[in-house]
Amino acid sequence: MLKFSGIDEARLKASWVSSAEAPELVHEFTSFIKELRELGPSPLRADYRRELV
Amino acid sequence: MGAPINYRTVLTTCTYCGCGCNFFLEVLDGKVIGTIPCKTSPVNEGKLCIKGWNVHEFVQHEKRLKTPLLRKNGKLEEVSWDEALDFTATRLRQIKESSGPDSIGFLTSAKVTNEENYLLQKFARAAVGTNNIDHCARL
Amino acid sequence: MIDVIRDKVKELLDSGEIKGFLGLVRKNGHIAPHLFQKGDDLGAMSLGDDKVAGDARYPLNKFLINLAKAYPEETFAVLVRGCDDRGLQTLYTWNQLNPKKVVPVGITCPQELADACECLKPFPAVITAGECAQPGTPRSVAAVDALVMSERFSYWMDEFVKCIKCYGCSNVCPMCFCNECTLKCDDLVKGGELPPEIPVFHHTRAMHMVGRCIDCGLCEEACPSNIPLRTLYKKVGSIMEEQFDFTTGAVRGQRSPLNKIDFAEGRK
Repeated sequence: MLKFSGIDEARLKASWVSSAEAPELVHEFTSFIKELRELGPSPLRADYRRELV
Repeated sequence: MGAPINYRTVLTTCTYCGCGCNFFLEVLDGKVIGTIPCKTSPVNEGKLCIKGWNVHEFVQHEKRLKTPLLRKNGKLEEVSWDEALDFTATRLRQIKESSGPDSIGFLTSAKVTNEENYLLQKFARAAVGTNNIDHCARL
Repeated sequence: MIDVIRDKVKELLDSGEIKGFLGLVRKNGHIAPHLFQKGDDLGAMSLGDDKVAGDARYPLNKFLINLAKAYPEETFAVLVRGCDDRGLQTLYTWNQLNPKKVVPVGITCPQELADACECLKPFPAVITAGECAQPGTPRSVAAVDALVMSERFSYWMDEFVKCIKCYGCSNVCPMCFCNECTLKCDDLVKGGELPPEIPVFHHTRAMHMVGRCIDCGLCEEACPSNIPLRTLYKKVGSIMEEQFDFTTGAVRGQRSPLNKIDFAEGRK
């Protein structure tokens, strides 16, 4: 659906991490944050309404 | 075979603003249970705003006023129409005589007909003698 | 076609098989949802075609749920097109209606309506009157898919930005029956705040249409801002078809793959 709406699907990530795997969770977070930073600011941050009004 | 079920859809016009959108009220056993915009209406063509969509909720709402209320000793009390009208007329006359007609203002409503709105402005201008009249649609 | 329906309804009412027939009537110059009961005049009955075919369709199944809730012992007949029939099948699986208490009176849609709706099955499972039209050709989803990502994004955002949050899409939807609605949950969609947050508002509704949307198109017709909601939900439907081989309401008794959580292991 994100792709259909023109939003980069790399901005959403779902991972299965057990509650016993804390290091895994930390790794997921840090690597995803890194990926997101590389993608740059979200297009949703632009104020769509201001352009119209 | 029991008695027929009292289920009707009643065509009516939205009271919220001057657009005049048409919709059907869904009435089951005397209770208004739903609103559905009229598809064949040239005004709204099967569309409504959020207020119109929820009209059925206020029609029979328990908090709706059914009799006039008059504040007596700081408390609102239910009174008859005669008493309410007498009180209003007396006070309006007193205020007009003591402070002049421009000390009185009128606010009319989108929930009444054009004719009723016309009557109130006529009353304000001709009977009371002030141009202090406005309508909630300007808010 | 309407004469066949009239005869069928008269037969059902006279035999006492049904308490009433939920259909459409032409009165006061408009087409209105109406419950026909025994002895009623069926002369003013309508099939929902005013100026063009199917332009006065109403969510009859939604009204049927209200009636069935108030009169659970009674059996009602209801006018169904292909989409309404898919709706009935789905509402049965979600326990919103009892199939034993519903008699569908099926009509087919003409080719022009099937084409306009891009409907993949413009006729119900049991047809009382009418000839089956050919399925419409899907175009609207493909048109958006043909855009590059940035164009897609601005296409949808330019549409969503018009939303006045009237909740018409969910109010008119025959498949929106939840007692608690996510779109009215204060933590997700702030009440009293206008305009709604985009595209979250519309994506949230789209997600809830998964396995529910029967592609009747009433939402798009009810939208005061003409947002192409149907295209959005058609995409949802096509994803369900690709990933789960599931078409909402197509097979009688088949539950949505997302509605199987209460099924015990090994049972089907």
